[in-house]
Order: sequence, then C-alpha cells, then structure tokens
Amino acid sequence: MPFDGDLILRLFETIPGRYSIQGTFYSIIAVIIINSIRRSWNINSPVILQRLHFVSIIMPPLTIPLYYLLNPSRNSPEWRLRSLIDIESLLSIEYAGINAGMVMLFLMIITALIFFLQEIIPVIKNITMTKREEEKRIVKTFYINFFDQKHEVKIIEDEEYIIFSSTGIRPSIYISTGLINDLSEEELDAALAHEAAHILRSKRPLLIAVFIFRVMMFFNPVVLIEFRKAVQEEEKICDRMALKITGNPAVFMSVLKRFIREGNEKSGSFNESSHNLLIKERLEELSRVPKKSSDFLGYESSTEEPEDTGILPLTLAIISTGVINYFIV
Amino acid sequence: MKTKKGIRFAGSLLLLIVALIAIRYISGVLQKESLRTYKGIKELKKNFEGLIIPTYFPEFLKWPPSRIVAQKRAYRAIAIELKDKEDNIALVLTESEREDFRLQGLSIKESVETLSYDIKGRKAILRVGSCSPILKPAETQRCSDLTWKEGNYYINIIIRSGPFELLKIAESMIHN
Repeated sequence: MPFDGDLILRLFETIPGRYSIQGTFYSIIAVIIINSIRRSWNINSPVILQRLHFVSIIMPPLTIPLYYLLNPSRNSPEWRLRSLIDIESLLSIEYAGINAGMVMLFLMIITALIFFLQEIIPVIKNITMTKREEEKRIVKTFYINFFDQKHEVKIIEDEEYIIFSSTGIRPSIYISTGLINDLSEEELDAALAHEAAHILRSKRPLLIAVFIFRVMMFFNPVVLIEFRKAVQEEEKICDRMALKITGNPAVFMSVLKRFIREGNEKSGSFNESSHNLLIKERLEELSRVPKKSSDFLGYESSTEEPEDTGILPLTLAIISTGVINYFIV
Repeated sequence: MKTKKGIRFAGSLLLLIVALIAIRYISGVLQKESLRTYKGIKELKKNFEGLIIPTYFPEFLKWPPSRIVAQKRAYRAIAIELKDKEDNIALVLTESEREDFRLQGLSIKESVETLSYDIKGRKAILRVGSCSPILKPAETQRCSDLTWKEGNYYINIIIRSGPFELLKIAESMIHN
C-alpha cells in the first residue's frame, strides 16, 4: 500500500490537522444550513446571499478556538462518544485499503493547488505584470464621477473587449478602445459605473476580512466553492449599484451580452463555458430587477415580503451552524 | 408566512440532525476499530492482544468496570473505569500509544507532590494530590496518579486513594 492510512489519521490528530479537518466539516454543515435557509426564505437578493456565503467562510476558523475555550476537553473520549459526529471515526472508514481520511487529504491537497494556481498566482501576476503591461498601452486618462467619488479611467489601445478595475491606494478603471467604440454613451456609463462600484466596495472591511479568512482556509474545498459563489454575488451587487446610476436594466444587459464568448458550447473550454454561465446568471438576475424601482439594491426585490431584510435568516444561519458544529468533533 | 418559513427551516434542521445521527451510527457499524464502548473485559481481551490488566484491585472498588472505552485506530488506546461502593468514579486505568488519551471522569486537580518511582525496573512518575467527584465538585479527596511506559504504550492509573494501593495495582500489572 503506498500510503499508511493510520499515518494520515494521525496527521489529522495533530493541532493543525484537527483544525483543518474540523474546519472543513464545519463548512459542510454551514453550507447545508445556508441552503436550507435559502430555500425556506426563498432568498434571491445577492446582498443576503453573499452574507450567507460569508457565514460558511468565516464561521469555521472563528468558532473552532471558541469551542475549545468553552469546552477544553472537546477531544476527550467521553465527548467524542457523545458527539453527533466523531470525525476521527468517520475518517477511519475503509474500503479497498483506502480510508476516508486519505480521500479528504487528497481533496485538501487538490484544493490548495487550485487556490495557488487559479487565485494566488493570477492575483500576483495581475498586480505586477498585467498592470505594468496595460500602463504601457494607455492612450488617454480621464475622470468620471460615480457614487459621489471621482474615478480615474484609463483607456487602453486594444480591439478586444477589456474592462476591469484595480484596487489599492490609487484605484483605476481600465477600458479598451475596442469596447469604447462599440458601446453607446448610456452603455459606457453602465459599464464604468459597475467598475466604480467594485472600487467602492473593495474598501469595505468585511470584504477584506472575508478574504483573509478565505486565505486561511486555502485547503478547504467547501470554502473554495463558497468564496467563488460570494464573488459571483459581488458581481450581481455591483450590477445593481450601477443600475442605481443608469436606471435601465436593458442597457446594462446589452453590455453584459457582449461579453458572452461565441463558440460551440460542447467543444468550448471549461473556462469559456463557466465564464458564459456566470454572465448568463447575471443576466437572469438583472431580468428579475423591477423596471421602475427607486432602489435597485433593495433586499426585498426578489423576496415575497418587503420587510424581509435578511437579518432573521442570517441570525438563524449563524446560531444553528454554531450550535450543530459544537457537537461535531 | 413567517411561521411557515420558520417551520420549513426547523424541519430541514431536524432532518440534518437525524442524518448526522444516522451517519454516526453507520460509521460505527462499518468501522469497529474506532473509538467505542465495550461491554466487558472479555470482549476487550478478544479485540486487543497483549492487554495489561491488573491482577490486584483494592476491595473498595466495584467489579465489573463501570465503563470501558477503546480504539485501535488511529492509534491503540484503552481506558477502563471503575467505581467505588458509593458509585463515585474511583479508578481509571489507561493504556495508550499517546500520553494525552485520558478519560475526564477522574483527574488530579491540585498536585501536592510529584516524584520519580522505580516500579519493577520501569521509571514511573508518581503524583499525589487532590481530586473531586464530578457530582460533588466542592468535595476534595486524596488522589494518586502513576504513569510509566510499557513497550509502545503509556500506562496511567489514577485512583481516588493514597499511593499505597496505587503501587500495589501497578506492581500486579508487571510480570517480568
């Protein structure tokens, strides 16, 4: 046998091992609870959905030390026998010489690799190389006012459709000449407002805190998925913020449709089809926005009751996740 | 409407708890080597080779053991708990590959003396102090604790009594 199953189980017995495996199980429970809250309350608001995804990212690393503070003998045999789930016993289930612990470790290694290859390396590349390369191609810089703030817009010489924003001390919006030439004035406003919304929201301490927790849980496959879902909700939130300025969902939808990559869906790459899927999801969300709403960010637009602000589902998510996870060790 | 949503959520929460209990039960059926309770010494001996059981127990202890918990995986660990005639946990014997595998029912709260002790050629650590019954935390009683290594396993005995009885129990466990 290439791996010693017991050795892996012992690895999960160490403090970092226990922290990572318990964190992963706690995220799974959080996601199950969040999904049942979503279904019960019929939640479609991106703001509430994003906060619910945050619960599954933030709660596990925060509650583990809290649980040990409340009950220092959590790992005692007595507590393990009384618990709802004894993770160690579950991980020792074996089939054909492979135990569940090996499968979990494999999943965690793959998740860590995806995190470094798809998230960390591109971010570093973006900060260092891409920005520097794009700076060389800038043909014009101008300023626009959105959300009571002045934003720097840099036009890049490129026929492709490019639009993105950089964050940090001096945030800027980058847009290609190709996209500017193809968009109407109203559409350009919508696209720039969306990027301005990203810049505005990137300064929020909650988003920064969530990112720190996400990095801490780099090995957690559930956090990987939940963080990506939260990022997608972020796009939808920025869409709605931009709508507050432009006031016309149809204009915004026409901008988004330009970013759908043409080609055969079956033969297209995984990246391409997932990119298109995310755009289509945003288009679907925009089609749900009421045409004459005074506040497009309104939490209530997709829920049945106007007074439903999301506080109750969020509180329930936190409490029930906290209580159930306490009995998993 | 809100009640309906609440009921729906409570129902799914209940379902989750039931599913977790079922998973726990199934994992216990599928994996007999992980931590579980054993009915008696006979069952324990059948599952664990080379088990070291004392041949001497003080008279104030009730037989059979009130609790036996053990696991083979991820590491071997056995804990046997005995009560006295007043139904207080009075002795816990632990045999484990890891030193930190301990039952919580009996432990020295305040150590008065710690000393090295030679027990039939094994270097042991003897601690004498006080402990309190779980149900009567205000009541303190004299307790002794002895730890030594026997091959790959740490042996620990904690008794609600002075060191004299404890050493007699320990000596009855070593035959060479």
